[in-house]
Amino acid sequence: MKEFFNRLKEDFSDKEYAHSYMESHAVSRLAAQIHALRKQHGWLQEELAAQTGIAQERISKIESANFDSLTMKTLQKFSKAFDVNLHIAFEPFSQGILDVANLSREQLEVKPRIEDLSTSFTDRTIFVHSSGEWKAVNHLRVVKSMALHKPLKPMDTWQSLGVLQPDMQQKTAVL
Amino acid sequence: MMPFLIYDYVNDHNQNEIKDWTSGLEKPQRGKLNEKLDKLALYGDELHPEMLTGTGVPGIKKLRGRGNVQLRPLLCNGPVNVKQEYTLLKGAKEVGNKWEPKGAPSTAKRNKEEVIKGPIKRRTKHERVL
Repeated sequence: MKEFFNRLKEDFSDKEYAHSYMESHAVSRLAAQIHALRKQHGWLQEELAAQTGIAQERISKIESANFDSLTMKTLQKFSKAFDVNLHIAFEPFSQGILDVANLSREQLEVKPRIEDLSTSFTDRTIFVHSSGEWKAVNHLRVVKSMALHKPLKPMDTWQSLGVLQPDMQQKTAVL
Repeated sequence: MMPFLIYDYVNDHNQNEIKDWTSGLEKPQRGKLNEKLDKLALYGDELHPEMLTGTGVPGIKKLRGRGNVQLRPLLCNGPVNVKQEYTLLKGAKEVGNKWEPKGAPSTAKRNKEEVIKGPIKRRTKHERVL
């Protein structure tokens, strides 16, 4: 995998190539995520069409990554139907490379609002800094292992990495 | 090492036809194509089932890309290890639901048969073109 990161790092020294590659990734990732979220809800395309007011044929094209553009309004319709937050942001290419390499069904699925909020920001939520420091929300505890729900982003910020579930088998985090 | 291996078809003059076809594409097209091929090597077609679709010719699939030109490299699972590999068989485009070159999926099928007969000589590990 290190070879993959290094290769993209080298390839992305070419601006035109880097943007084409990541434009394609953005479209296919969005298509895969809408497909994964629909499956997560157990909906047929027709049901998602009814929830969003977007024609089923259009949803089929979007899930097939067969579209040129999507408006913010359309994305907001999906966000509301799936009851998840829509996050659009510019980011460094290194983070984009991490995103390409770390896709998974679990990463594409998103907890709906109520379920998410009922389990977030408990005293077991661990925040990890890219410098390697960590802290809990309410008070510090001794942490021997933690579940990595997503890869550490190469940003100089605090990131919520996981919720300790003492009764579950944990993977040891390597920071 | 990537979970899935990608191979290129090699013709009877020992030429990597996929590499030749990719070299003739414009840089933005190569960027988009390489993104799709990386996804295939990393995840197979599980994450995005629509990425590979049939062509009407049994055993031959097209890799769907988006852009001004509809690049449709033709490939198959395996054919040696169908669960861990893909072999690119023919570089093609779809213009107005017509194949360029004409009959590309049938050519891909013939190429696949050649690969099955001689997998060591008639394919090579995918050569990425920037």
